[in-house]
Amino acid sequence: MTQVSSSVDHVRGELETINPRSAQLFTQSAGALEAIMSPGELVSWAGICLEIAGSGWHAFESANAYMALSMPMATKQGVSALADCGLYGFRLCGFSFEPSATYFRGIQHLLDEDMLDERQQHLEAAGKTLRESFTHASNLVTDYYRVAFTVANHNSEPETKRWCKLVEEVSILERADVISFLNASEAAAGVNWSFVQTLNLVSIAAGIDFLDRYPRLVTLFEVDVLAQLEQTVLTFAGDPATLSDWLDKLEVATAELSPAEKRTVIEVSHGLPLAVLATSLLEVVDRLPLTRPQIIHHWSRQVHDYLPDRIDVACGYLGLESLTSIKALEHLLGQVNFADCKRILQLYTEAIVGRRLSVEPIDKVLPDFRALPSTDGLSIHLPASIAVYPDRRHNFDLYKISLLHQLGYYEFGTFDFAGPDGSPTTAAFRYHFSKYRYPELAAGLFQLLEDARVDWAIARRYRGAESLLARFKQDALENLPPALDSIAGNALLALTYLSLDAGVPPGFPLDCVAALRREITRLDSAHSDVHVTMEVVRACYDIIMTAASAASLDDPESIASADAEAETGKAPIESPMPEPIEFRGRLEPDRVRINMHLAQIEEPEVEFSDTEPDGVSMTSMVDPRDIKIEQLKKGEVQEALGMMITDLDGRGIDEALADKADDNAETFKGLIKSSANDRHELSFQYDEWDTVILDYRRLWCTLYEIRDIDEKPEFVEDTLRELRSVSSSVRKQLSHLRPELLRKIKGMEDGEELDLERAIESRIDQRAGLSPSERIYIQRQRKDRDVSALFLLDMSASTDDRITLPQDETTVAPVSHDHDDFLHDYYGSELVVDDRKRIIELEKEAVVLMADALEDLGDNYAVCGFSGYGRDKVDFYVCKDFTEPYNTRAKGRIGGIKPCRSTRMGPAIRHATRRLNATESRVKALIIISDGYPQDFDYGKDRNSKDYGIKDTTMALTEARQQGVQAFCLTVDPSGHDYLREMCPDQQYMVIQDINQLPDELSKVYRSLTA
Amino acid sequence: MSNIEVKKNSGYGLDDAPYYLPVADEVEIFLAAYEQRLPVLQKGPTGCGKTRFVESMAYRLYRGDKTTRDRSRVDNPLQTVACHEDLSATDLVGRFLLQGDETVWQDGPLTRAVKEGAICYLDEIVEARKDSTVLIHSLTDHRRILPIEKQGTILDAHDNFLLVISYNPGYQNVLKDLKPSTRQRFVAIDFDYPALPQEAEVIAHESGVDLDAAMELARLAQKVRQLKHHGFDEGVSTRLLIYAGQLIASGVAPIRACDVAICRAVSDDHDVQRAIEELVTTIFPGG
Repeated sequence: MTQVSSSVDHVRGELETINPRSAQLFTQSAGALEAIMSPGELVSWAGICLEIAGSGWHAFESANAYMALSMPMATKQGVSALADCGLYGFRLCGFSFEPSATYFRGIQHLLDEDMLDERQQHLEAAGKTLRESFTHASNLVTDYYRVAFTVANHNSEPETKRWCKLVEEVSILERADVISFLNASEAAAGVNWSFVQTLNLVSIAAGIDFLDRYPRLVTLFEVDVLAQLEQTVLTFAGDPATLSDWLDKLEVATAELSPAEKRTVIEVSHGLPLAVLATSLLEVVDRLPLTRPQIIHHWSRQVHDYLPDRIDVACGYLGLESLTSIKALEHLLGQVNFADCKRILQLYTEAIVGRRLSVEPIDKVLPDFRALPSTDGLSIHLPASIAVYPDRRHNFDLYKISLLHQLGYYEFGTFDFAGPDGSPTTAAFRYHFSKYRYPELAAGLFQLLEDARVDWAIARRYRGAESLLARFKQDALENLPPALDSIAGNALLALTYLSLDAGVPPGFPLDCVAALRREITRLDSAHSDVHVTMEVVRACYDIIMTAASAASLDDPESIASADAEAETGKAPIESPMPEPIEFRGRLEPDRVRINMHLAQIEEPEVEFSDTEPDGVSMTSMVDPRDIKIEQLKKGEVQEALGMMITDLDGRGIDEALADKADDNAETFKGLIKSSANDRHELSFQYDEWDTVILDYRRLWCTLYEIRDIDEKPEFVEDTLRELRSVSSSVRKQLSHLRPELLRKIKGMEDGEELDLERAIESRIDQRAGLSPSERIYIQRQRKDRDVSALFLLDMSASTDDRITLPQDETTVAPVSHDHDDFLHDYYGSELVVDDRKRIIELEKEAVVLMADALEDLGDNYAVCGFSGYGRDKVDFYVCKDFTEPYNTRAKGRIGGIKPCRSTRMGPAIRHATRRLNATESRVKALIIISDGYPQDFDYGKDRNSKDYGIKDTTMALTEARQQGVQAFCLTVDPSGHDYLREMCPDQQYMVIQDINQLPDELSKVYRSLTA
Repeated sequence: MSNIEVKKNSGYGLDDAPYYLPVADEVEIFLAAYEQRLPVLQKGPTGCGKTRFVESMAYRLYRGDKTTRDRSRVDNPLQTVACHEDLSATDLVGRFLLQGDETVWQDGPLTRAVKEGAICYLDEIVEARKDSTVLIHSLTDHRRILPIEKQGTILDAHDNFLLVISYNPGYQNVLKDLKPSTRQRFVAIDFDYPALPQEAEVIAHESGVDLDAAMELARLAQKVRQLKHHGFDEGVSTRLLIYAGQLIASGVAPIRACDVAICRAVSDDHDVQRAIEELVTTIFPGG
């Protein structure tokens, strides 16, 4: 036995005691290595093996890994490299066996893949640095080697080197951060490490965050988009928190977008300097026309007008919060909004059909819901906006044609169909279709054929609309599918082609096209009406059924399925209807007939009023809410109820009719009534000024004009009786006001001018010997006062507080009731026995005294109050309108004013201004009486900030002034100076110290405003 | 002030038959009323053909198929007075004028008609001052006399004399309504815009436009008239349609012709104008 073999045997023996498997491995490896190693090298190698195996608990696992890689490594890299590797691994054993085992396995893997090069040195160097930073972190070091070899496996040598550099950089961080980094690195092994290195220079946290998300991002974005995203991340990395927020939202917001749309989002974000801006953009991603990137780019570029200083404004712009932004986008899109052209469409409707059909927007648009035009007999519903085409005119034309088509149903007698004898009046269509074996197919055919007939009739009667129709028909054709997979479906599709004045495409899988064409052509005639359509429905239905049964003879399976479907009443088709054509919309003829029928039962009194604030609110429409059901005849109730119930639960008519007895009239009334809101509420929408984004928020507030107020008529009389002396002083004050308008009165005995005509006549009479008239002068008399005044009372809950007189020592801190008015409602009136007046009472008294005096003066005035809760519910109470006499009802309503909720002043002032403008008076005065600064729970994002409300109110007052309304604010809030100074010029507000002076001051204010 | 100077052969003399297309039995009624010398009240919206009708009747009675020898001798068979708010009794009856140092009496149009036996047509009578409406009372009952206060005389109306008045109940306010004492002295004939085919025929005849375009114009008018509650009381008159037709006949594109003759003319409300424009482009091709 040589010395060598004895050394090797010794090691084997030692290993045997440690782990038999190791000894076995050692024997094999040593046998192999013998051939390429010198005896000395072999002894040295054996020594290393033993050292490793003996270095601690389970260290044999490391030794095993080393021995496993020994032969290939010695062969490929040389013996000395193997020895170095072994020594490096041995040093790792100082922690535990795991780091070294992981290390050896990693080396082995690289060897197997022929990737063992400088990467090894980089890994070892970085590993060394890490070990020096974390001297007792075995798991961390193990993780490092595991991740390091994963990274090395996925990356080139230079990339690996970059990663290793990164490791050296992060090794100064906390242990948890290093672990995060390592974990993220492992998942993001294929990332661009050079980018991460750069990112780390800006923010290590951002780098880790990015790595963490990388696996998800890589599935979301295409490679080139990802590269742009990386650049964007780099831009935003200065603020890792907002970057993280943006990336969170980005992942969610873009999940459902198409690759092109994602690209647009990233491109736009790339141009932004801050993550917070890009986040605002993401919040409205569903409202942006991402399929039209040029528009988005153009629109988003304008945000740079606000950068770098006005970040909030820029956020408001990108978040489509500001009016400027919305308008800019709409302008670029060529979007037409229903609200902007409602009146034109309304007038157009009335002109075409000659009856008051209201035109309303379809505003509750759910995702995946197509906002298709439709009518219900009382109104026509159109999409809230159209931006299908790039230019506004084209989009408006789509509105026009959609509307004309709906009107065509009325004009060309679609709803004249009476049905066969015995049809229920209000369900003639459904009854008629129920006679078919497949009612759905018959109904589908009817909609399609009637649409075709109406379009042809329109084209014949309105030659100007003909070309428009042709254009939209052409567009509709482009969206039709080539073919469906059922005979009935294809027949309907073929009819759709024919109805759009196009031929059926060549090779269309249907044999009966010629027969269908022959039938549908009958509708393109001046003599066709809805009854002809019904005949054509019958004929087409029969053609389809014949074709279907011929096909099913060839295919036994389809017979079985057709029979099964016949039992369920469904048409033997899988996709029954081609999608409705956009401009034709949906047709529900029975619904229209019900409403038309109900409207005929009692036509309400129609009045055309010039004082309608909007000119378009359809107060004189036949509104279902106006229909009183008391006079329904029994039979009618039965029919209508049947229809109603069928609508509600989807059961058959016959069943429903049979079930319902006459005593259900009450139920029916209930149904109608419950669907009707308070008939006196008109709603208006107003923009609101946002001082943060420095722009208006469009149509932000909804204001309801309410006239139904609990009346308390005795209040006015009581007040006048109680305050007789004040009343007379107010009257005296106002009596000093003089009419200011001059009017020429002819035929006066004296005056400033000579009435030439009369003077000559008189002279002639004198000559002719007749007695001349002496009334030959013109006088200028002050006859008119052209004044309209609106008193706007703050009805917020705080006006329920008792007044505090300056001499009162027991000042009670004012409580804001805005937040807990339910408590207030409950306890309010009985809390304390206190004979001091409430602020609201004083406000009311002051107005009562003014109203009394103004009646004498003859000025036009209105008394209104405002309150509300939130931007969607601003209440504007009209106690006495301009045109309304000051009668018991008006007095009752003034008396009935009571404190409610918040003080959102802006919309109330805007509405008051609108009402004043409608009077067209020369002098328009708005007098606001309040008890505190404007506030509401959502008046600005920061609830504690008064600034938003004050600024909005300031803006509303400025708007009023610009429109020629003189506004004046009176407040009883002692701190009023602070904000009123900001809201109005000095001469236009007054803080009343002694609230009892309110009536007196009010009359003075009125004098100064209107004199 | 007497400002109504009628010249012979100036068109007022009714040398040519005016075109009038009857829409109902108004011709028979008028002729029967004339036969009995019953004063006639014509009611109807502006531009629907009231004045043309009375001209046509005057022609038939004084120049056409119903004429008689004494009627054919009347130089100005139709004395038309457009009433306005300053129109006084003197303007109708006549007045003394200064001529050098003398005063000379000048007959008013009503006096002339009463004397000559012509038809006196007071257009938009409710616009006139109250004293002038009262003046016609004695002419419109069995007395058929006209007192001339300033001369201190009373004129008996010529046998052929007939008083015709018109007013437009649409836009006059309550204050300017006819008093029952005036109203109930007349046979009232209601006028309205003609039905679609007749209106088209009138437009085609008067403007020279072809019947198709005239039909479109009439259809447009029918639609626009359904909007008359929105800022314009009268709808669009046949007269305006004829103007539009004349513009079309002289080569203006129909849409533009309707724009200037109809859209801009009937209302100042921008939305109403816009809605009418949309109606025009719906009806006329080429928009």
